Amino acid sequence: MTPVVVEIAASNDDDKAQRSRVEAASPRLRGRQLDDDDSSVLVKGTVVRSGAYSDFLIKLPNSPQTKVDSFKAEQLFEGVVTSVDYDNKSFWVRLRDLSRKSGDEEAEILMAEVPGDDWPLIIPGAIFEWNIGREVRDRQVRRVSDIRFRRYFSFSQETVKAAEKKAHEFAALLSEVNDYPTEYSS
Amino acid sequence: MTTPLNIPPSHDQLEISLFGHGFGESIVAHLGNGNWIIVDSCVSAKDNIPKALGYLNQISVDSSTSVRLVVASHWHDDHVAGLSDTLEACTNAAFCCPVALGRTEFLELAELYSKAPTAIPPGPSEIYSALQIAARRSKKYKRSLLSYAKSDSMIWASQDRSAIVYALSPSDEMVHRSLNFMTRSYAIAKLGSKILDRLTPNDPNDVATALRLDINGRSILLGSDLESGGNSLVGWRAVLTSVVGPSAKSVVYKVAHHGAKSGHHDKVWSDLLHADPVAIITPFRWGAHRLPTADDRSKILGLTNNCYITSNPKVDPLPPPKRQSKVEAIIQLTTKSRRSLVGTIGHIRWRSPLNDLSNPGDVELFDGALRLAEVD
Repeated sequence: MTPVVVEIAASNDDDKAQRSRVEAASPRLRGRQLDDDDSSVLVKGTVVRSGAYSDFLIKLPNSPQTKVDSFKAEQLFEGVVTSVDYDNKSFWVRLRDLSRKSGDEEAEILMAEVPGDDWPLIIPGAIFEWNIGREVRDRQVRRVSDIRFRRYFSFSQETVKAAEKKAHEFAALLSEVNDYPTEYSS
Repeated sequence: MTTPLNIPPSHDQLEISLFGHGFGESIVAHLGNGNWIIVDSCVSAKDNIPKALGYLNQISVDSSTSVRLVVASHWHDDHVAGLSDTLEACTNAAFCCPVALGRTEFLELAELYSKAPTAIPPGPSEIYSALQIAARRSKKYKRSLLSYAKSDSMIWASQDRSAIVYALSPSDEMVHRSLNFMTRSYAIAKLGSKILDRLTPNDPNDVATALRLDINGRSILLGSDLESGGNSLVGWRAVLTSVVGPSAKSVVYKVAHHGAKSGHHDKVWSDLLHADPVAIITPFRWGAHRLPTADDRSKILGLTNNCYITSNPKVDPLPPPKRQSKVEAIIQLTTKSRRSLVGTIGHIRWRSPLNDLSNPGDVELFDGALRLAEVD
């Protein structure tokens, strides 16, 4: 088990009260050693832990979970990670706006914007969805931003078999057409 | 004096037009006598049309009959956007791609990734679609309209052999590495992984096709993204030890890999190029990368006085579109920086008389293209 050092940071999607609680807890926890299974830290907010071998971010439990009554999406992007800047804890992405037709964009996003569980998934080529919308929870309306990586993806066996069959048929066709005379050899 | 953009070259005039905006490049070449080729593809953000097709339309050249060859030099995103649409429109054209991309290893991978639930097309899709078009077309005409690029191979020639297109790469070792990469990627894709990733090819040195156009005793070198690193079996080092056929040194050079240090080899300039050649470059803006760097620019400017770039690598393209103010506020809070991936596509055009070898030709600049020396 690797002990890690705790740092504290509020997340952009924390509300004002939550940010205050996090800030209040910071002096108490900052610099403290924390083991991976340490459950004694019950900070409500976002705890950034940096370890000797890898950096990752965890979210300790927020206030008791309440049910989301409704969610209205206002903006949806699909993104793909193009590079990761570990020094600055940020990553570059290509974004495609799925809400309307417009050219792709490029952006740099702080890793702190991504739930800690997903940090190991931030690697070049990784695909994610970024959803911005209005959430109603306990009759409170707030705007949320949710960046979510596609986890544990696999093609079904049927898809793999069908793809192999089509690929082999296509390879045979390519082989056939390669035997035709070329424009310049005829 | 600049010729109006929409005036086509005469039958006895060569043309190399290079288009690029920071993420994407395309080359349109007139090899004389109405024979056109297109190398790589990028798409105009304004109308979502492949830039090569848009330009040929502007100069009243019928793509469907005049384009004889469409080449995909490799399958990096910035070289293939709109490639299959381009080939579809050029109904008389053959298609050429690096040899590894016609192998079952690539076809399996491409077929599988075509099922990936993503909006951004997975890496191999453009090349795969182009292969399908070329196969269908070949079968229809009972004539192979498909060729594969590998080192020292002729991939197209005019009927009178006055214009020949040679591939200088990939070398055998590069092909071997490509196939290894595909086999590995396919095995991972079959097993499933912790993420859904967007497949992108490995090192350009393993895949990129540099071309030499030999036209009526004159040569033009198109460097693709070929790099100089690695051993003598790959990249420029492999090309330099095995150059096809006797030929004059090239008078025009599409500088490899956006002018980056990684694509530079002194011997390319001394052994393959005429003194003081016309050098043309597309910039590359991707994440924190900006190519060519100041050092790259200094090096190139020390090698030729005739260097041009399609757009200024230091100037960001257009800002992204504005959205609803509250949504925009969240986007701005979440991102450190943001910009459109594509902007105005700059255009460098070189034309020269086909039969006057002593004429160095004229360079014209459109849509923000500039002399490399003017990038500060």
